Amino acid sequence: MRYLPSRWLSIVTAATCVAALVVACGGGDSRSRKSIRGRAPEAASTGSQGGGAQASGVKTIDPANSGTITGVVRWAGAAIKPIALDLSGNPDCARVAKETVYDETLVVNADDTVCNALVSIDTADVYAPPAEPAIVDQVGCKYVPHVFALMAGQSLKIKSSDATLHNVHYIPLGDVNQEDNFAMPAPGVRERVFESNDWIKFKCDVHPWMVAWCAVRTHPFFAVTGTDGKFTLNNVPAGTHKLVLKHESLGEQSVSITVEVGKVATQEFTLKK
Amino acid sequence: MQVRPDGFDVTWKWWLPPAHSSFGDDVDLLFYWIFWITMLTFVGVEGLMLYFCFKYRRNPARKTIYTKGSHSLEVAWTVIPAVILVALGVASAKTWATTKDPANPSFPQEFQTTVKIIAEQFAWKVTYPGNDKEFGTDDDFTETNILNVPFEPTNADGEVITEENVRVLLSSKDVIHSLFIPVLRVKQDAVPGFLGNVWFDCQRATYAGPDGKHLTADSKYSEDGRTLVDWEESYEIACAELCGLGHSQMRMQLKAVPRADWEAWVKVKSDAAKARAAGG
Amino acid sequence: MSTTAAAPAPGAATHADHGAGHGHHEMSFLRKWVFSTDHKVIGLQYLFACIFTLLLGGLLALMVRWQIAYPAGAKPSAEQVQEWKSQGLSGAKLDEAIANFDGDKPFPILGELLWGEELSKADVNAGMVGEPGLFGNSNGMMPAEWYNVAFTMHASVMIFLVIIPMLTGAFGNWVIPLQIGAKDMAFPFLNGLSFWTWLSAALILCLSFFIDPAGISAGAGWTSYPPLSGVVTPTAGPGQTLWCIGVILGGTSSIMGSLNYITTIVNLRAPGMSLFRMPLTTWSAFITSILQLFATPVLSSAMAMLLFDRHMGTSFFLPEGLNFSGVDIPNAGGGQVILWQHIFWFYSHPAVYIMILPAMGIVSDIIAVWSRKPIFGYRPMVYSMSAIAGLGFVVWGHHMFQAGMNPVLGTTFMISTIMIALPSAVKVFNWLGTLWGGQITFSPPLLFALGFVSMFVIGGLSGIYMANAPFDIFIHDTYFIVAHIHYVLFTGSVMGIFAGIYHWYPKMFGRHMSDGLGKLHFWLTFVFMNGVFFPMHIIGLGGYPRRYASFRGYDFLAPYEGMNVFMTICAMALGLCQIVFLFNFFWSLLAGKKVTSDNPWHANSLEWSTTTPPPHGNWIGPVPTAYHGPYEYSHPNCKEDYAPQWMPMQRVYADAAAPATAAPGASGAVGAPPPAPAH
Repeated sequence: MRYLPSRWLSIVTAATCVAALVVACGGGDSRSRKSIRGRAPEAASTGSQGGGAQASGVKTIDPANSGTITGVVRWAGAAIKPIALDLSGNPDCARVAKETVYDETLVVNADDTVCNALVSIDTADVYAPPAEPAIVDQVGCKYVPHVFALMAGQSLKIKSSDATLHNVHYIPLGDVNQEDNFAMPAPGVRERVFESNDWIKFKCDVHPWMVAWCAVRTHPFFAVTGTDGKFTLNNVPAGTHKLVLKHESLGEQSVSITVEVGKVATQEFTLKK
Repeated sequence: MQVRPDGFDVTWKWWLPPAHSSFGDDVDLLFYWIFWITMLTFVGVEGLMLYFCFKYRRNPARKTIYTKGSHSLEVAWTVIPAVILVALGVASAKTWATTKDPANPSFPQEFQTTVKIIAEQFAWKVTYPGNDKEFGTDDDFTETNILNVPFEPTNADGEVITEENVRVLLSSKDVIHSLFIPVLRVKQDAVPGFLGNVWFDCQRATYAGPDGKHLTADSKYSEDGRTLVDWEESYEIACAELCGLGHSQMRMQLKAVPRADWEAWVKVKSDAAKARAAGG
Repeated sequence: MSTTAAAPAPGAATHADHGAGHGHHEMSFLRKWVFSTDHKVIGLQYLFACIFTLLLGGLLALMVRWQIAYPAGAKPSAEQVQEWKSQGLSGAKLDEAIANFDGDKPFPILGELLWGEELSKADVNAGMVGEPGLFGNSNGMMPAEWYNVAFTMHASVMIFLVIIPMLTGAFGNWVIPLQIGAKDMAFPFLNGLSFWTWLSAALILCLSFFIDPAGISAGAGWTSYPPLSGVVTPTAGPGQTLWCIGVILGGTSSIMGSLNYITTIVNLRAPGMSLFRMPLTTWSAFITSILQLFATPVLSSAMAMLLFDRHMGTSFFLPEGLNFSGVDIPNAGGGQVILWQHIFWFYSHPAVYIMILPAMGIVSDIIAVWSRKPIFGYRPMVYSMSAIAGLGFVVWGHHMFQAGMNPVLGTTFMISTIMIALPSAVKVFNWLGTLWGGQITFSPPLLFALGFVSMFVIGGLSGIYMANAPFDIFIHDTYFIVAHIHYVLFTGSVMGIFAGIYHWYPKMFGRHMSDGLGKLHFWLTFVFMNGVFFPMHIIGLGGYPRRYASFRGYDFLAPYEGMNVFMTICAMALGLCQIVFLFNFFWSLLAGKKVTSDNPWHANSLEWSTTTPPPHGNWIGPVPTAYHGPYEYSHPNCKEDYAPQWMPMQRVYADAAAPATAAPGASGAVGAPPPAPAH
């Protein structure tokens, strides 16, 4: 007597196992889609980024009721000689770097102003992020720009123009944004969105000198000094603000500044070691 | 394909890379012994199997041999391989002791050069003790992914003229890495929390410098003393222990050069480090 | 040595009752097919689940191979550049052509699904971004961090979800009680629990791919050396935690299973089935179970410690001063990195034998049946398996020659490791002795068994290179070890698994698999697997390190590009030709030729004495008696070339002595009801 019909035995056991695995993996699948949306750029435009703060009180820029802050960051320390980096240990970089790469932890311009300093006002107000992305490029085995700022919820395009493998390892110093570490396609672009105020260190672990700093703000009132050491913050709401300067190796300074409608407020910072 | 100006091919294909350390040939000799023993065994066993498969394929006309084994055969094919294997083990123990056991007389008595490598994700930080040959002083300097050592000159018979043993103190600041120098038959894990060490000597310089080409501080370096201009060739060093997503990018260069050149290079670097320490 | 069977355990008595009254009490569908406690159903559940996980592990392997052959960052070949020059390109135009050269190849289909649309390099250089895939967007190419996931999960799936459960779960379960004449396992409920624990481990490992948006599951290698695995980082995040939990569950399942097998084999053997009358498949399962029972708890405890290090602030494996990319690890201090390696390999080296011994047993049985010969040196076979198991516990240090150990200890581990080649050699010689003078029929099971023997020779011999400490320093963590482990585990264990499936399929399902397709499957598999794995020896000798996402940038690896492409093509072909097997397996379930005899291969061991497929309780009526050993093939006094264990020798002799009158009785072994037990 055939107690167990072989056909049923096999079909049923196979179906059970496969169904169980498929159901489980399928379940995981839908979860992952959700979490991808949490980080993907397109989600930013739907307004889900930036949490409840945006939904409850997103402010808009009012040019009729604002002024401008401008100024310059001066260097008062001893003369700084740029330190050229030796890339010979990484021939790939030596090849793609068209010009000498210098250490960028402190860059002083020829006119004794400081490059790569972040100036922003300190406010808890939340503004809607712009649709166009911010861009940081990896080119010639360095980050361009070396210090950059973007708004919470704004998409950041992390680009690599080098035909060598970089990884991007960013370490937020704040608590909300998540650390991440991934390899770049060479060349290629990856996108990320940050959710709250932060000061984020970007580094390439393969090329230890490659470091960049990223400031995230919930408002658009920030600027990074360039080769002239100057900064300009436009459309700052009238009133008294705390103006903060931040430099990766020289720390923070802050002053109080009053902005009047339609006028330009000026502020000069002086840095030294 | 990479061929140096002196005609030496620094790449290799489909076989062991050339061995440039004093113990490299001993290691390779062990390989060749094992190679021939295993080859013979392989051909013998597979050949016998194929022969049996052919000869004893199903044929009802032939009488099947009924046997449950043979005591003497079992003893024979246990004892003979055992003898061969033990002999191999004993032969290997000698080379092992030379490379690893400080109590062994053939282990180097003296290390002419010592460097310290602290690995990290994903780079090698090589610290040289500088002019004073002491770690922890102002003239120490640290290079990324550059391991320069003096090479060990030998005469035509392969005898060492001047000993140039290099000791590498090895550790890591994050995960386990492994220092793998194929041409020297060296591999040693860089274990965090533990300062290990490994030694080697490199008997083949990465460039054949005639005396006139010896470096001097002013002729071979760029202004800030950072770029080597003449030492173009190098041996490759890889990371052999999975250390994360940049594992395959942890490449370091080994340059083995005449001692005079090496000392000139160390002096430039060391002086610069000392100047920086004094200025800052 | 006891030659009498132990008293039946309570479970057996219950099943004897079943036997008397079976068919009258019907179990619910769920109890019978899903939450079953019948060892055969559980064995088949393992079998089907493992075929699924085998596909998953195989797919991951193909993705790994694809990445090695076609990593990102390909540069145009010299010929290509020459061609551009001959087309008149020069200067900036030529530079642009080189910059836009697109040598990347995403993995077929899946590449774009997982990692986004493939864009041409010119488009990327122009700043375009394609549609993202499930795991993000990197132009369809697998990023380096996912490559680490791919090989980690390939190994984990193959080891914990395919080979161990297939050999001990599927074959161990299905074969042991039938071969020793037991009605079921000693602890049927524990047996079912073991399967469901294992299945939850499998589900958790599958889930770990989807807990991170970029699909980052465990990526620290299946060896998961801390601190890489012991600190929570973006590349060792929740996926790594799930992996640890999954492995603990898998280990728990193994422990339950092995406890069950040992108890069953010790207590539930049929009358007359002394230990040295057991077929070698059962012997190997017995020895493997003992190995598992001793080794697996060690792995589970290691995993628990790792979890504590990751999430509870302990530092078993984290030394002081750990600093990841400038960030100090707060709980690090006082731990030993090497401690993990000792604990891990104390399990994982025996695990290698857990994964090969059962295959050795299966292959021994199959060779005896298909060459119609008694096993040459049955007891030496048993002793050598025991020796392998015993020595397996004292060789773990050979994984750590380059990690930094006392040189004297290194010498000890080298000698013990070299000596483990000895019992392996004895086994090979005995298999050859079994073939000698036989009547060899080249059926699919035998082809796979012979494939196992011939490939195990390569895997065993290459082990001697690895055992040799000074030379191991050079080939450690290169492709040589990858070749070695795959010759043992793929061309060894997996061949053993296939052999077992082809051999027992008719008894399992009452239908035959197609012989022709089986042979086709064998030859395709045999050719392509050597095409994949043999060149690994050669690139390993060249010093090609394992676990490299890309060989670009290394001059000394450049000569192996062509060989890597060749291996990848072979791997894809190897994967595709398993379709032949899948088709044969599933088609034969429905439309295979029905078996006409309960003992189609004229084999001797007890599983062939019962009806096909075996009923609940394994035998209708009482269990058979084992009258002699399982390998009485071609006995000179017998007319038939086999003497089943369940028939007394005298009866077979008598048949031979009076062939004219007793001819029907002689073939009574085939299809006839089993004889009554002696008492």
